[in-house]
Amino acid sequence: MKTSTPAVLFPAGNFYRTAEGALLELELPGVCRENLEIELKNGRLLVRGRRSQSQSAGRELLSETALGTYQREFHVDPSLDGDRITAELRDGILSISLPRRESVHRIPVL
Amino acid sequence: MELAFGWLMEKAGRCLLEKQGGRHLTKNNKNQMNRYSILNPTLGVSPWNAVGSLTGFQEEMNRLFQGLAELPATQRPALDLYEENEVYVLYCELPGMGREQIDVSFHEGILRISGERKPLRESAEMFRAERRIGKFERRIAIPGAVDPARILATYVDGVLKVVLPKAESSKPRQIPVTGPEPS
Repeated sequence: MKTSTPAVLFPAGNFYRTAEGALLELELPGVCRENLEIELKNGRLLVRGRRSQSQSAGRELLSETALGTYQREFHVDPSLDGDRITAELRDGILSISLPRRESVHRIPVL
Repeated sequence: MELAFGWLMEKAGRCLLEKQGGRHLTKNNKNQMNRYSILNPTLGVSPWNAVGSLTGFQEEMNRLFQGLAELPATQRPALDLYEENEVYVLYCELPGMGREQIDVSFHEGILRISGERKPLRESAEMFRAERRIGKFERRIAIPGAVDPARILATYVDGVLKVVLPKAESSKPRQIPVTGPEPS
């Protein structure tokens, strides 16, 4: 069992521009959906993922993986639609898609 | 202080420092710009060279980018290894891989994990890349005898778990003590 103090880990990410808006990809190995928290508050997107540590009651021979909680925070530009943010976690990669706000406001003709 | 990049801004006060073969990639956040500077003592530009000719600058840039291309190709993902009574358990962090893209083999007491990390998206325009791509490999000597036929590898949440059952010969066992029966 690991005994070191849990630290805040900074997940690496890739950031893309897409036709719809922006997309980010964060590396969160060892984090399952239940331990992942994504919050949008006052234009800030906070991603927090607690990693389930390597489980073993045995003797530790090698310990290289960092123990702690992944955390990273972003400011979301007002041009992106906070209500339509979607996220998917697969194989330790969190993909968050931030679509742009509809700039054209359609007015129905009566 | 915040750093702006594209549509997303990130809280500053963090420094990404990656050391690769003596070359440091550092986030330069002095002027509130999200910019990477490449610091390398061996590639230092003297003030005299810098104000020289444009060709000198060009050469400097060429050397710089050549240096980037020569970064070590093979990565070494992080491992945890535990010894239990019956098995050795190994964990390896490999986010964003497909099950079929990870090679696990065992030969003469050495467990080898290898593969290649590929970009998840080719079509989208990337404006910032922190995730590493390319080949990775780890070889690790398992300290005791294991039964190769019963080694089991699973991949969950971006973490590879390999369970290596110990061979009968290397399991701990009770040694009966013989002696005259107590009378």
